Amino acid sequence: MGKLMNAKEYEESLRKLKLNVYMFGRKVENPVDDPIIRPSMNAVAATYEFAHRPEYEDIMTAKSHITGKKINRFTHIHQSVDDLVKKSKMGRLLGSLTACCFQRCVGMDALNALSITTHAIDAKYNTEYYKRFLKYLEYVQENDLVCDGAMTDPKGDRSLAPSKQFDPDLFMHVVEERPDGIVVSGAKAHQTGAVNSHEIIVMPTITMREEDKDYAISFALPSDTEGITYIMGRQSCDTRKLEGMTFDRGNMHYGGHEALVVFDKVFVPWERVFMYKEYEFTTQLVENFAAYHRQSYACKVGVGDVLIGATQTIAEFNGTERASHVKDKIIEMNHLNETLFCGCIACAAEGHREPSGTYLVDVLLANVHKQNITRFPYEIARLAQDIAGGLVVTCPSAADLASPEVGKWVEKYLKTKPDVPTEHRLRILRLIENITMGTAAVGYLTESMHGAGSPQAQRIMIARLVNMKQKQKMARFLCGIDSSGA
Amino acid sequence: MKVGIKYCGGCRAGYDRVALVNRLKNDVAGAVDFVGPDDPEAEMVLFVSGCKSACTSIDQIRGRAVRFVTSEEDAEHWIREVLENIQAEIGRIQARGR
Ligand SMILES: Cc1cc2nc3c(=O)[nH]c(=O)nc-3n(C[C@H](O)[C@H](O)[C@H](O)COP(=O)(O)OP(=O)(O)OC[C@H]3O[C@@H](n4cnc5c(N)ncnc54)[C@H](O)[C@@H]3O)c2cc1C
Repeated sequence: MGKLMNAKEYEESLRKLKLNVYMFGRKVENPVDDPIIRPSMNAVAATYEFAHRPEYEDIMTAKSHITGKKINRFTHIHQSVDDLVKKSKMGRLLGSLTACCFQRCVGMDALNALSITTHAIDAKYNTEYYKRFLKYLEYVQENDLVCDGAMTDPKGDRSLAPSKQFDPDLFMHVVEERPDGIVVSGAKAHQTGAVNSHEIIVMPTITMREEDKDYAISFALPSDTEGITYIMGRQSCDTRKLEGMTFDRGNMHYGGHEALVVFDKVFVPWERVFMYKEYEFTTQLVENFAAYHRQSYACKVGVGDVLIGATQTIAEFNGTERASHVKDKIIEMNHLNETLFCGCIACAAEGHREPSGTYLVDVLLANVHKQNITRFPYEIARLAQDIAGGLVVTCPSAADLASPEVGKWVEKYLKTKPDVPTEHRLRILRLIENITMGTAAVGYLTESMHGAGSPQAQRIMIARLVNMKQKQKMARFLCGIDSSGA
Repeated sequence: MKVGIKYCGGCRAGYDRVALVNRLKNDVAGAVDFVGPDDPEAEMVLFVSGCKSACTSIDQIRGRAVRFVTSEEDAEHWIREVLENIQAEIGRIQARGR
């Protein structure tokens, strides 16, 4: 066994990092214990804890193809279709256990995409990226590290290429080449779990052309490298976490986070560089990373499981669970959720082996899956709010329920049945609020929309990947336009 | 008798796998010792799967009997089978003793 860390060891490993983190305009000296950040650390810690539990380890762990040791699946390079399927199942499992973004998939997807592209660049240019990559991978696996997968640049004016932007730093680029490495400047936006990561893996965000080759770079650095600054993203309802452990936070255990990560003239040694100006490989890297990451939205099925469970519970608390339209809406929620599960399993089951030996998902089906993800969670959330009733947004606070003055009124008027404690009703409503419009809606809704690429990015891929000629050929034969076809 | 327990990952288990194993431990207490799946003394490995796909690989299990439980009913069958086998074994030992 490599070092399969547990939750406590992971937390301790984060304490050793010297991250430069800012939030609400102030430097955060101790991100691990910061009440706003802490639930997101708990969610990543869960990926460690569950790897040690016999009832989850079959999904949560894998066998390293480089050392043969048992490792956390989040550091694994997929070696079979079964590995790909297990990855989808792990997403659902962890989504259902945390009801939030557990942040660790993006680094796994970066590692897998890089394993394919570094191998491909070497095959063309006789470079040594793949060798470097495998050494890096072994380090990540042996130390059971969390990697931030950093693809998205701020991008400035979306209609312009990187080299045409008014500010060259709007896309990450090389500013100096030295005998021992390169110096880079730029930023990565929306970085999931950045402050809970040991490493940051940078990739280009779009296809680069020759004139943009200074932007065609990929590398990995320790997250506390000098020159890297993290500016935390705000989430709706985030400061409820400053109110103590009241049920108003909705999810009492877990959360997610994103950050804007700035690289101000940061040095990268050559052994950590995985692409350097080979711009013609950017499309492959971006598309494969995107395909893996679109598969990773399997996690939303797990969050959907929790939301459906919460919705059934509030229906029972409210006494509406036997109404035919309520039953039907819950069937619809399950139907949508399981349809999402079909997509992430299908793209994995139809996966294939790349020349590096890495298994890649079926890219068309991964895009179809993610396209559904941009829609169905919104509908599931809408149905949850429908069944929950208006109290999901008008509910007095936990402090009001506890108040010696008005607590009795909240208790009396928000009670639905003698055997349902009012507090239980408010707790489940807060969870629904959390997932559909609070801190967890970042992950369940808007990340479903934009994470791993906005909806249009998938539609472009779908248009490119379907075999339209074959569809036409069959149609033309069957209606008699052509005499051969089958 | 020692029986190894190997769980699937439980991504969409149709029942509570851990609760079921705890019940099994109760029901066959004294007759069966539950151990980890890699325990060399385990005569049998019981795969406890949350659904019928039973996706856990059995490759690593060599030279030992393998049984699958994918539902609460399967568990009942398994308990019956184990208790009958143990009864039969006791019968054989007693017959030899006579
Ligand atoms: C919660 C969350 C977590 C994320 N986590 C990560 C992460 O861990 N790592 C990471 O690298 N990224 C991450 N992302 C970033 C994600 O990949 C981007 O949000 C996504 O690629 C869209 O980019 P954007 O947000 O800049 O939106 P934009 O690109 O500005 O898109 C907004 C709209 O404009 C359209 N548009 C944009 N450009 C064009 C164009 N040239 N022509 C026509 N239409 C255009 C889009 O289709 C879309 O409709 C995350 C995002 C979110 C919301």
